[in-house]
Formats: sequence, structure tokens, C-alpha cells
Amino acid sequence: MANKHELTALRYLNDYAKALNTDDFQDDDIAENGFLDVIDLVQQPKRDEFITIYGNLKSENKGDVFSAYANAAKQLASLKKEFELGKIKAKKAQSSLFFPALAKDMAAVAASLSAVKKAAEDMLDNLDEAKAAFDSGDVQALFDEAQESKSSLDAILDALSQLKS
Amino acid sequence: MKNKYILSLIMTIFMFGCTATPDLSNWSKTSEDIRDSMVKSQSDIKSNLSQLVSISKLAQNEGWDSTCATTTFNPAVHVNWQTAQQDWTRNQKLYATASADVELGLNAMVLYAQAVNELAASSGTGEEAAEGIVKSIKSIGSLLGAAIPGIDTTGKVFKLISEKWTNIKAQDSLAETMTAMQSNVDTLATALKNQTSVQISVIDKMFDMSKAAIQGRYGNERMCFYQRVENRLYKEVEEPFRVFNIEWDNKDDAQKKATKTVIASNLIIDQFGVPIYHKYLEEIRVLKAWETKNKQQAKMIGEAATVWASIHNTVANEMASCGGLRSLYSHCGNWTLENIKIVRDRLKSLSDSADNE
Repeated sequence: MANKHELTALRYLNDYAKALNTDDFQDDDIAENGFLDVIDLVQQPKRDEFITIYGNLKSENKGDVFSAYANAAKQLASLKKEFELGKIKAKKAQSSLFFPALAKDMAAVAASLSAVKKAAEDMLDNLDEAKAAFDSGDVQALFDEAQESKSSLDAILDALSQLKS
Repeated sequence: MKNKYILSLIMTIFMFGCTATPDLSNWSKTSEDIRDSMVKSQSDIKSNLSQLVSISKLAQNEGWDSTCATTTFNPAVHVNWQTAQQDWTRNQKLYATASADVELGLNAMVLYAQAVNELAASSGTGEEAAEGIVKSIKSIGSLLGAAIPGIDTTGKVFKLISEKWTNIKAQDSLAETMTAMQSNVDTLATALKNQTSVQISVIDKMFDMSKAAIQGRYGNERMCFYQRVENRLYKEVEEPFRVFNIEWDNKDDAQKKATKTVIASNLIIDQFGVPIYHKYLEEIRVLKAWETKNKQQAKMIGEAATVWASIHNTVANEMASCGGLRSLYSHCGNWTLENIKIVRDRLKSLSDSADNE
């Protein structure tokens, strides 16, 4: 018949196995320390049996951890190039954010702005009705007007897109 | 008057077309924290590895108790200090190379995160950049005059477009860059999680070896004896006292001398041995604290990497679906009642002032 210490050691061993599976270090510590505190009080041959189980749990699947660490590290290092390319892409995008890049050719800027102006003026044709909707606070009507103005809006967006390229 | 409408119309488009660019400074800082924590953790481990190499050498030279357990806690397992010294020298070299590899990958990650953060932060600097251009435009006003009359109005339109457009372009670039990088970011997070998971096993192994070294230095059997002395569990500790008190008169001289020697030994153990045992326990406690702290830290780094990648993914998706001009899609929620009211009031006020001109 199992004595009290045997049962306690078994319970800790069980908790330890569970904690290892969940990577919960605090539970892992509590269970491991509890087991180590009580194992000396367990009678033979159970003591050796439990120690073997504990040893197997602790060393399970570890293999050569340092080689495993080196292999995993190589994977991280191999990403270096990709992240450097990502950095270059972001930096390049930042440097081309502003209009100065286009300002080299002022005529192009002027033409683009002129296209925006033209599209905006076309949109003005719908403005009277939209204005009435604004004034009356008729949100649905305003939304409808906005939908109708979509083609003008698209023209503006197209003109802006040209500036982008 | 028309120019005011143009301004207000463009304003309307951009008011609807401006999804807020996320502040990525904390995210970028997280990448630095992950890198710094990993470097610190690795440095801590490297320093302990160096100690283990020295300890193995000392253990071999001084012939420490080799009956200590390593991973199995089984007294039948003997530590071969010479092999241990070779093993830990090899481990030390492997770890040094590996930690340098980890730092390479993480440094590149940090520089990328900083560049993305700067790109996001630069989205609001269009107006400032436009100022310089407007000055240039004014200086060649004659050229522009042919295309758009009214240089001041052109300047205002230009500044407005430049400011808002910078934001839109930045969001587009963010979407493009971050979407392109997402798979690498995910791979890095997984790799880092694997790395920290193996690091936990490395710490486990170092803990076992360090514990074996402490036990070897103090003497495993000796400490077990002191433990029993302290707990007063050993019959032979109490027995001489019992004999001394009860059976003293029946002892011959030799027995009395032997009993006195045992009692004196026990008193010495109490006075000097038990404090040594406490010192031994303290060293084990410090080692255990080191193990717990480093394992916890490794776990946190792995978890932080997962969160870091997930934030990257969220921002990339947000920018790809609602960044830049795509923010005009109704599903992006910019056509809110509140926004429409703001635009209506702005247009009304412009319209009123135009009528009064």
C-alpha cells in the first residue's frame, strides 16, 4: 500500500509533467521543488522509480540544446537580408513622399495642378444642389449628391494619382 | 470665389479621404525592447557559460564530489568533470556564434521597424515641405502663370494638396511596404519564439549543471547529512545524547571516550556544519532564482514577438484596405454623419463669405 509521501511525490510528479506541457514556469517550479522536498522520504524501490520518471521528464526531447539554439539562430540571421530590404523600401518611400521630387520639373507640377483644378471645376456644376442639401441639413440628400458627383471625384482622384506616379 | 470652392472641394475629398495614420512609435520601441532584452539575456547566459567552463576546470583539478546528478537527479550518475569541461567549452563557443546570429537578425528587425515608424510619422510633414516648393513656384511665377492664373491661390492649393497628399502617399507606401514584409515579420516572430523556447532548454541544462557543480563543491552526501542533522531525523545524531544521559554509568572508558567524540562531532556539526549547509542552500536558491528569471524573460520575449508581428499585420491590413485614397470606401467609415456635418458647415461658411464679396 502506498504511503503518504509516495502519494505526495506522485502528485507533484503529475503536476510537474502538466506544467512542462504548458510552459508554466511558476507551476513547474512549485511542482519540482515539492517533488524534490519529498522524494527522500519515499521508500525504495518506489523512490528510484520516481526519480527515473522525473529524470526522463526533465531531459525529455532536449537533445543537444546548444546545437538546437545555433540552428534556430541561423534562421533568425537568414532574415537579416529581407529586413534590410524592407528598411530600404520604407526609407525610399519616405524620401519620395514630398512634391520636391516632382519640383524638378515645374511644368509637370503646373500641369498636374491644372488638371486637379479642371476636375474640381467640373465638380462645381453639382455644387448648387449639394449646397441646398448642406443648408437644409439633409444628410441623405447630401450623400446622394456625393454619389452623383462620383465621376467628378474620380477625375480628381485620377489627376492626383498622376501626381503620385 | 471659384478658387474658394476649389479649396473647399479638395478639402472635402481629403477630409473624407484621410484615414488616420497609426502612431507606430511604440511598436518600433517594442522591437528595440525585444532586441535589447534578448541581447541582455544572451549576455547573462554567456557570462554564466564562462563560469561553468571555469567551474568544470576547477572541479577536475580539485576532484570535487562527482556523485551529483545532472539531468536525472540519480545518484548513480557520475559527472565526469573532464568531459564536462570539454562539453561546456564547446557549448560556450556554439552559444557565442549563435547569439551573434540572433543579434544580426534582431538588429535588422529594429532598423526596419524604425524606418517604418519614420515613414508613418512623416505623413504629417507635407505642409512644411510644401512651403519650400511654394517659394520656388513663386520665383518662377511666370512659367506657372501660363498654366494657372493667380499665383497665391495656386500656392494655397498646392500646400493643401501637398500636406494631405503626403499623408495619402505615406499611407500607400506603408501599406505596400508592410504588406510585402508581413510574411517575413511572421517568420521572424515564429523564429524568435522557437529561439526563446530553445533558450529555455539551454537555461534548464545550465541550471542542472550549475546545481551539480554546487553539490559537487559542497559534497552531495555531506549536504544530505547536514540536512538530516538539521531536521534531527538521523538516529545516530540523537543516540549518543541518549546514551550520554541514560546509560553513562554502564559505559567503560573506551565507550565513554567514543561517545564523547561523537557528541563533540555533532556539536561541531551543529555549530559549523549547519551554517555551511545554509550557505549551500542559499547558493541553490540564487541559482534557482536565476533560472526562473531567465526562463520567464525568454518566455516574455517570445510572446512579445508574437504581439509585435500581430500589430504589424493589423496596421498593414488597415493601410491596405483603408489607407490613402482607399479611405474613401464606405466600409472604411470615413463617410460618417459627423464628418458630413463638418464639411457642410465649412462649405456653408465659405459660401456665405463668398456671397458677401
